[in-house]
Amino acid sequence: MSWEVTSRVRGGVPLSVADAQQFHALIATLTDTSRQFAAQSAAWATLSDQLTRTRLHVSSCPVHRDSWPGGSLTAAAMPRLSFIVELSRACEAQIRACSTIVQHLDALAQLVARAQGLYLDAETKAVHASAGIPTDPLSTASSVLRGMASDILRSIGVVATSDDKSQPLLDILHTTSPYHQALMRGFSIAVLAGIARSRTIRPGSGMTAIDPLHGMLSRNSVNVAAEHLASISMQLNDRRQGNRIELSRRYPVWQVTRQADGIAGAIAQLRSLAENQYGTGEDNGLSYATIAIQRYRRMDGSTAWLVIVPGTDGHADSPFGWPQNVELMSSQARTRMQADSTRMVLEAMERSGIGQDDPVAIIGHSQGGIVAATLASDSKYNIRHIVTAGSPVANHPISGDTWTTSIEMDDELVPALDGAANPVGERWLTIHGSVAETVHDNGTGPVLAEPVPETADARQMSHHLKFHQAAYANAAALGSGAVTSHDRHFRQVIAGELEETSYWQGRMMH
Amino acid sequence: MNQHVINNAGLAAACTCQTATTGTLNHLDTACASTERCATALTDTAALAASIDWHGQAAALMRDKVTTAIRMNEDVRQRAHALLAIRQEVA
Repeated sequence: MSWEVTSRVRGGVPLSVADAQQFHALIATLTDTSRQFAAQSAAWATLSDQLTRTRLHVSSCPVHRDSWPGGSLTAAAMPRLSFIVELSRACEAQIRACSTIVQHLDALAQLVARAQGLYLDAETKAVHASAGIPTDPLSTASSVLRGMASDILRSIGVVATSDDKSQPLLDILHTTSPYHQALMRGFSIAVLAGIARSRTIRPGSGMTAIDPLHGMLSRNSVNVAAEHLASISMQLNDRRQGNRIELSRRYPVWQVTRQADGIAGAIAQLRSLAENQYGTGEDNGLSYATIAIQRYRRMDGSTAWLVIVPGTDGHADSPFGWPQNVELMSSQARTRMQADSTRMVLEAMERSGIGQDDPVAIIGHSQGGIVAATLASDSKYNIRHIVTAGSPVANHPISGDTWTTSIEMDDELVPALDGAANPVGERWLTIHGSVAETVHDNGTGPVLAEPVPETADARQMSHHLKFHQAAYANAAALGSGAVTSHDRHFRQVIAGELEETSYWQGRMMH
Repeated sequence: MNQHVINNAGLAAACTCQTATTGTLNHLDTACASTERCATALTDTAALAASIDWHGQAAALMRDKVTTAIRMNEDVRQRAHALLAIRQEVA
């Protein structure tokens, strides 16, 4: 069994009105032609039904039998009967051919729509409406849905640690994927409501119930809830892990990352660096919580940088543990900047010699992507472009000067933890990837899908970087102007020769 | 026109297959007309697809697939024409 990814693009450089009209016209024409072929197929099917009846009539016709009933057909009726037989065979062939053409044309209409980012809103609404999905976050705050949300959240941990139990949970994640965002927002509202109630009971705590209540109504309710939770979890985690980061430069035996050739190349470098840390790739000589910083010399002699940041590894003394995610998701810049993972990356950037005005690109997976969004929102560095793979960053106040390319798989859950869709704009492009079993080319599968390398027989967690890599490759193949312009911008930021790559490992200490 | 024979009971029996055959031929005409309309629609679609400024693997694939659909429909048309030719003899 093999798996493949199809991508849809949302945001990025918008189409001109004229281009948008042309692509809409093409989709309409493909759809209309498909309908005409469906009608043709139906016409041949009706003829086929009629032939069955005619055959019975000819076989039993009293006029065309030597004697009636039970006689054989007359010679006059034979050509008519053979025509019917031939026509029946032809009908089957016509129906098959027309149906295949219908499938081709429908797939092409979808291809144009996903390449140009058309109809995505309507598509999403249609999916939600047909599935009866509650898109109102207040309705998802009900106790049943709250339980479902916590089950889904728990599934991340179980999937990451257990092979035998993961399949049913992966299936649940896949089938509930359209709910994830609304569920997470509803869940955060429930958390905020709980906090508001507890503060009402304990008025002496020095805080008011207004903040959580206000947060419940805001778009970034998840981040407001995260801020409240982080105020507790940070202290607990500091007691457990310590709050001092020991950062050391590491020297791998072989060069783990190479010059990044555009966004696709940067994803490949991120994967090369990260896989060993997640225990899914070859031993690259580096341990967990290690980032890479590449220095590029541009044509004009200036310096540019690419910072490569893997995601959560969950080790007990890692700055990239689970609790840091809550801090990074906070609505408050101060909390985000105090997260251990942010502090570690900032210190590594400083020790690498990145100047405040040097152009910087950051690529991060999962927690690494949230760190990238945090630095682009809150740091003094000149962050020109960030690429996030599977990261919930919709509500981060990323500077308007920074270009953001987000890659999110439909059923990986993590990027939905922000409870909101990413903003749409010229400088923010989101590539949505869907994983499905490979359909061999019989006309029924999606047009232009990217095979996922090294896939197993069973469904895998699509939070793995190889899925984001396939999703980006598929988006690039779509020929979308939005993808092309983001890739061009990313290349411009780090245009030049790779001079040096430094690797930095962080450990939490008391 | 229906022919009549005298059956075993001594009654005139109507030809049941002529009416059914006529109905069949009408359906055949409808399906063949639909084939022609689809051929025109596909040609228009191909022309529109070719006129749009869209490059890359997806654009090339789309144009290839439309061409494939035109070829497949050509087979559909040829079968329909062959059936119409036989139809003349049967009718």
